[in-house]
Amino acid sequence: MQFASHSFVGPAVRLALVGAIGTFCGPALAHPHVFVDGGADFEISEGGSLERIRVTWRYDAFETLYILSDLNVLPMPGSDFSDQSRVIVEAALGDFPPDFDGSVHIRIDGMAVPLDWPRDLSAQMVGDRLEVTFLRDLAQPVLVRSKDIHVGFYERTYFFKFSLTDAPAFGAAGDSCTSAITPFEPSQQTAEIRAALARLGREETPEDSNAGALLADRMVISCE
Amino acid sequence: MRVRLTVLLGLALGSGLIFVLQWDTILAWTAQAQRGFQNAMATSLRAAQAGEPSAILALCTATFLYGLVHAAGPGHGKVILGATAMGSQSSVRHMVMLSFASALAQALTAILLVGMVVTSMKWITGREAVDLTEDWLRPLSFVLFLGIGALLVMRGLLILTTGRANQTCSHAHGPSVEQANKVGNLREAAAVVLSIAVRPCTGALFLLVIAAQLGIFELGALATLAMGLGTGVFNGGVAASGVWTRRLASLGSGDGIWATGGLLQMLAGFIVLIISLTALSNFFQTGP
Repeated sequence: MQFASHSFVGPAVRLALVGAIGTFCGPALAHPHVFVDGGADFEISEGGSLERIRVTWRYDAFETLYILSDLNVLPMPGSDFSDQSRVIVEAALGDFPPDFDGSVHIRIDGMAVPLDWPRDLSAQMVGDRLEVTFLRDLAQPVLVRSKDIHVGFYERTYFFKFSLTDAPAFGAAGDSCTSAITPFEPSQQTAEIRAALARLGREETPEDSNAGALLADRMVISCE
Repeated sequence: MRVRLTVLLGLALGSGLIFVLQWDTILAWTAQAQRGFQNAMATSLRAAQAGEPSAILALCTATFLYGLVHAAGPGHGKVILGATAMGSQSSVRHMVMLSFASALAQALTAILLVGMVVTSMKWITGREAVDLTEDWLRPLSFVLFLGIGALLVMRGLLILTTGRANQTCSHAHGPSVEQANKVGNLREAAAVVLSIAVRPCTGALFLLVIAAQLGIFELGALATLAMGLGTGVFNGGVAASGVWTRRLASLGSGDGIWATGGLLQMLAGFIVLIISLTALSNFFQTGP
């Protein structure tokens, strides 16, 4: 193979080749810094109405150390908080930032279900991990009988990687509701998701993107 | 020459195909591996606090691997190093050295920020240091990247215009291609290091805040440097691949190598410009 000299034709062809190789590197995603396991419990009344959810987060051990170090309330290994420390932790973590987007995203019949601001956060140590739970009321209770509830567990920028690890409880509807959790699996991505990921850009996932949603663990709940 | 080019082309296309087919799996693996290393860091930090001697090695190993794996994710440092490698005449050795210098300087920034501003002076808390990094140092690094991108584009233009003039005229109209390629190499290297180092890694800040609170800041600083070494290893590979890409593109150029070099610099510069402008635009749209 010999490219023409003394012209731009040869270099242009080679640059096209370099560009093609460069694009082969595929879509880069944001990389998570914080890993959170947990899930959501659904408080469904005897009348079949979903009224609120209880969200559980268990931070990874490293983030746990960071949060508690920053608050200066690090308990001894294997110990829970003192009452005083617990107040500090719950006050700090219960003050959710204005851009908090919930981590639990619910859709019923394709429609997003609005949730009120989180309340009643409680904190405890589970081994070497910090666990918090908090409540979110539905802005408007929804009848869920004979409906599929789709739940995504994510934070949109993917700085936090949420994993659905806890099976949900259903309150008074415990016998009539079932759940199926689908962890995010790269090989299961559709062409649509791949295209969306590619559009996110190679080096930085924009904060207004929804990378977290594309990479989320999901759950479908069916109530009879 | 033909065999060498074919082999290089085959290797490049083969690697590209592997990336395209397995990229998501690779990224999923890196996220999972990162989680494992973070857990190991947490465990060894606690062990180090308890005075276990083996914890130092365990912590530094975990942070080195964290840096290596974390660098495989998105980050502008790789773009700058890759573009600089592609758009300059630097050797593999120089680019690898530049990658390590950048990564270690980035680690030092984190150590100074937490060690002096947070721990000694107590001007801000650890969380405020992270906010400072994300809200101010991050856009500053984008602006510096922008400057480097513009420099690469202008230098590429200079090489193209100078090279073409020298091809058609017997006398020089300006600096030679070699001179243009070498302009400000040391200053450019310093600019690359500064643009990367100005924004410390969030993981390093977390580590140092924890270490300070546990009363083992010096060990945290050592582990942060190990993290920087891990980052340097990965970024060094990216920079080396940039040099090899440039060489691949230049194979068979003959007398037209100046044009290939000029176009490569412009391409690399435009890539950096577009990515930096996009990042800045996103930053200002969403706010700090």
